[in-house]
Amino acid sequence: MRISDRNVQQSFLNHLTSLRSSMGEVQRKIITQKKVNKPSDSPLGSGKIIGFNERLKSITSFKKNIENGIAFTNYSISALEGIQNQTQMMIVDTVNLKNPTNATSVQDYAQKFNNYLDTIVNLANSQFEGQYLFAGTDYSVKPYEISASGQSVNMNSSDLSGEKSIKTTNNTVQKINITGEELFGSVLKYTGNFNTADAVGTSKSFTQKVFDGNGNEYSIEMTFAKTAENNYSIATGVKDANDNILYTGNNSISFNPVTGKINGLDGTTSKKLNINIPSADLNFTFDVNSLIESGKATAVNSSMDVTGNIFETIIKIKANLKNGNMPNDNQMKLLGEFNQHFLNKISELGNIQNNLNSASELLQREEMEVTDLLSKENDLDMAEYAIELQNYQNALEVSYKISSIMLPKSLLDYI
Amino acid sequence: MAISRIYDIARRSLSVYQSALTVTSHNVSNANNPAFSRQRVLLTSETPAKVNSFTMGAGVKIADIVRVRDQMIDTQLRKFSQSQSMFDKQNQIYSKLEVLLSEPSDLGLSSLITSFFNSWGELSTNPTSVQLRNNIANSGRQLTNRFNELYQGYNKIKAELKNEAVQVTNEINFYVKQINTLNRQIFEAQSRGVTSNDLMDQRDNVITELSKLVNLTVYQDENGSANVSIGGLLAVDQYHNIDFKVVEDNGKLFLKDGSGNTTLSINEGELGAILKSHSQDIPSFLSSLDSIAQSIVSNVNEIHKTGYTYTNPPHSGINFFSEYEKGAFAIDAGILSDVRMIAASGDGTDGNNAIAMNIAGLKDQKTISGLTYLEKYSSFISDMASYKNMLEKSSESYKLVLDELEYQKASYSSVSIDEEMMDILKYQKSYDASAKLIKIADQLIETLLSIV
Repeated sequence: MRISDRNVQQSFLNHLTSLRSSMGEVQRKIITQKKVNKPSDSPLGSGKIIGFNERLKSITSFKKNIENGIAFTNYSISALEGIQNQTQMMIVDTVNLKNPTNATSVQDYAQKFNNYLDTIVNLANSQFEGQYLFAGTDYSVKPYEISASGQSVNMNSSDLSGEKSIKTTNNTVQKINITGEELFGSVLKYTGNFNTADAVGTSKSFTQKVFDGNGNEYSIEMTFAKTAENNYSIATGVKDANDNILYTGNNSISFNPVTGKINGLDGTTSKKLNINIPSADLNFTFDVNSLIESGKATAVNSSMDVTGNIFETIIKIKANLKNGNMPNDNQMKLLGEFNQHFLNKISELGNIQNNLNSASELLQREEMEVTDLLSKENDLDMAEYAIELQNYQNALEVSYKISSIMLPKSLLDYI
Repeated sequence: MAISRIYDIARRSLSVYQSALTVTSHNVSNANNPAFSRQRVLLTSETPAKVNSFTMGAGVKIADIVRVRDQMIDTQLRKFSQSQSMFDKQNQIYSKLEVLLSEPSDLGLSSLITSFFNSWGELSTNPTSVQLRNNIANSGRQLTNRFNELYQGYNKIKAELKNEAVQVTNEINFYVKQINTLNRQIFEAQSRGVTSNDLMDQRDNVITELSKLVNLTVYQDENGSANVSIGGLLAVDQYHNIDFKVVEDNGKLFLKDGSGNTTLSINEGELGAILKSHSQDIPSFLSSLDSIAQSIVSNVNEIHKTGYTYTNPPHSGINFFSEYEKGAFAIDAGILSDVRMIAASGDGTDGNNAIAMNIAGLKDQKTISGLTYLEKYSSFISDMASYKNMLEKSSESYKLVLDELEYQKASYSSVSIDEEMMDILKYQKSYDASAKLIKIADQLIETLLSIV
């Protein structure tokens, strides 16, 4: 092949340009310490890197949520332990009051119960970063307040049942609070399912004992009767120990025919109904949210964590003591029930914390794995690229050397 | 036979070798001119004369001075040059578009989309926190600013491409005019029997330069005139040339003839790349960005409207973002002036976080064509990156082909100083010999004169 002067120059220049371009690319990667500096460096890799970075950011965000949740539950546990401690002390005191030798100190005990009430109400109003721990989701007002007369504890919010939840993973939401309703409310909860196969007219009745602050017993009777497909009526009756009817009510519920979940009470979306009987100092809520209707013939059950109101009970014990009357067995039983209830709630919060810690550990592990994957996809192997750069450098020097030998030479130099 | 005949042959020979040396020196002086094709002197013997019963040679003459050029290589060069310059130009444009994305980095849209939705998740832990609300406002502002910047950046590149298209068209018109002028000059020279090698070199060079700008075909007629068609339309021959102009119609650019009646089919060369990027690629990217931004705005607003603000009394029915239009959208002015206007609550109680949770959850919902925002954006990035990669690789591979063709062309047509030096020596020796011949003829005459 004929080799002209331009052939020699052109081929040298092409080689040099290609070498310097490759060197520039390697240098850029070494400087940034990254294999992918722009999407076209690796179209697939850049998609992966975006995904990994998004995951890492989300993990960081979820970890923040969990830290916040753990702090919130820590405060809640601390406040609840304080309330449970006060309840425990009240139980001890009521036992002590059974001892005739303490009969002379009844007024002192009345004062002590007054203090217990103050402390419990204060603890019930505990806050974490401006959020009332047991106010549900209403932080606008202090949830509990002792009335000026000291004869009642008022709830300043109409609803203390709001649940506070946080996202701990993309698809997991964790409830982190114990609502005021769960803690201090008397909630008659219905669970289980009605059988869709039941004929219209089929009914189920439930009876639940409740107590007022003085320990007087009342019974709540509720009868669910199927009135049509997916529809039931609820007849409620509240009686005192002498079978005097204090309250009657008629309500209805309906179920979604497809999902089987409850639509709500009385044509609304509400799944709770508050029944207040001031004449008997009774205030309770019945909750049908967990009821479903399906083809499975499992039983419907009712349950009530606490069958009285702690504030009412303390106020009445205190008032009775002031009048020289000792707490009765039902009141002592109620205090025991409250104590167990608080212990249960502390345990529930403990479980929530365990869930949060487990989620945090899983996120920690995932973070390490994703970081590792991101590193493999994007981080540079310095040794590999340093050697590559050195190779290019050597090739470049050789090219320069060769060019200095061959380019200027021609026959012209010798004639 | 007269001695004067020796003079005659030697004189002619001197003249021929002097001309040959002139051609060689022309070659040497153009050794570094890439547009130049080496020229060769074709020598032939002069028509012999009949002297008595013998035919006597009459010396040497120049049959022709030809340029050494392979038309096939030229055709190939033009063909690959059109493709290479198109891929190269498109690659340059895509580089600019890619840089604007700032991916993968914390400044990219992917990071800002994630941060925005994560900030809603964080607010859900304490919906009354003003700091966390500020965080949402800030991440939202960064997100809207980034969308605006990207949109404006892409539109700016589009506007620059339009200007560039006009400049390239001016360049095309200039080259077309030059070809027309050179065609005429070549024709005139050839009519006078003058070789026009250098003019043809100039014209071929102009055509090669033109082939970098636009797709063309060249046909050489019997007069030696180059007829060049651009995008299917005869643009120039010996007699006429067309002036082109770029016309924008419905947001798209077209190359038309001067009358504006004919639209040319431009799909290669720099102009092909510019027209495609301006009229197809950038609008498609903007449409992808539109769909993501539009979806974020409408979905966030739809949820936000149903929520309640952290004000006394709480308000409802407030949009988080203003209406989206062509990359322009912002956070509601009321929210920016008072972050308590962010509606995080689903029931009006200040601790309720239902709305914050729902908006945070949008990040993982497949809201655009079965994809999440990030998946859609990632697919947009990957598509663009893959296409740019293809452009880069195609440009490189066409460059290799072009280099090889240039190498072949240089091998065939360009000047080798070694060769030229050999020719110089050769012609010099011939010149010396011819001069010697005159001296000998002179001596012969002197010898004759001395007898007289």
